[in-house]
Amino acid sequence: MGCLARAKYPTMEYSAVETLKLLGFKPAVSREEVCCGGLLHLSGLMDFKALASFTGWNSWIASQHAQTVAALCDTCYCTYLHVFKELKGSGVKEEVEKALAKVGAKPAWNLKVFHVAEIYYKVREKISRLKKRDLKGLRVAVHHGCHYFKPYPEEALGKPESIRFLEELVETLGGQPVEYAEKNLCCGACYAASTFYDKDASLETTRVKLASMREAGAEVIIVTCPGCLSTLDEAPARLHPLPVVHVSELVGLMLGLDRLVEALPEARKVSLKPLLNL
Amino acid sequence: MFSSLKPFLENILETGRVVSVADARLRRKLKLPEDPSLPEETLRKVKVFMGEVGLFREAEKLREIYGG
Repeated sequence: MGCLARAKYPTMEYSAVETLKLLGFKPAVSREEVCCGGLLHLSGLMDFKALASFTGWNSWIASQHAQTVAALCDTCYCTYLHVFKELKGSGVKEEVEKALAKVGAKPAWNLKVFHVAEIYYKVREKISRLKKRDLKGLRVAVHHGCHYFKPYPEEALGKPESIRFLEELVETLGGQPVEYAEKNLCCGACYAASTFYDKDASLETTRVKLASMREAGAEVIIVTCPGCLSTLDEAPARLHPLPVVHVSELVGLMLGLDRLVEALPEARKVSLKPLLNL
Repeated sequence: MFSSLKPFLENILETGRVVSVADARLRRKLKLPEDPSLPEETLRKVKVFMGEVGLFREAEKLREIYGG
């Protein structure tokens, strides 16, 4: 689930669970999940051993319900991949397992990890059949968070320089994806949530990103990461932010989740009128 | 700057999550359990393994180096 989706954006938690149910999956959410640790590890404040212990714990909790993890957050997704791929050669596997064994936890290092966006893409025809609303030609800018496709490009759906699967999903939902020059640029969060903290660099990155989307005619943005959503939605007014939703929320809106329609306006700074008035 | 990330680190050490305070009003509206925080017994276990892998020691070192 991830910390941000659970605490700040429960609309994502709600929509992900309800849409996966409607699409025939059996999603499970556990209150026992801890932070993935990715933010602190990437900032140099948490070593790999501690990071792997967090992943090990979460994999143990998840394995009691399923053998597949559907991440809502690009950083959580990337953290699972990082630990699963690097643990074997890291020399800390035994120590991590020993630490977790003290509290009776047995990590499941072989879980399959997907981003929830990939799952929606794979069942897009079913979404199309079940949809109760349509994007009616709305012009949509897709933003994949850096942590989805940059650290482990071989795991992403499509070539990193030309990932297009969310655009296809948007088309399936009746929207019009826009091609914009700065598609692969960071949202700007990297400078704000980092030990290299630089507010000006962060805002400038966000400004360039938003300007590029606007120039291409985007009316709304779709993201795959709650961190990116927060950065783009809370951008200062002078940067002319656009309405932004997480892919799980978009699918929820199209599948007609009434509670989501009621709650979403309160979960955003920028009005979602173009999406809610369809 | 350490100061920009310190609240996240402290949150993890105290609650097991980087963002620990949930939007209860919105959760109620969505009919989700109001309090998504870790159950007490789970948090106790999490603190045990965090200690075992040296996270509290590491945090103390960071506080000494950067202040706070």
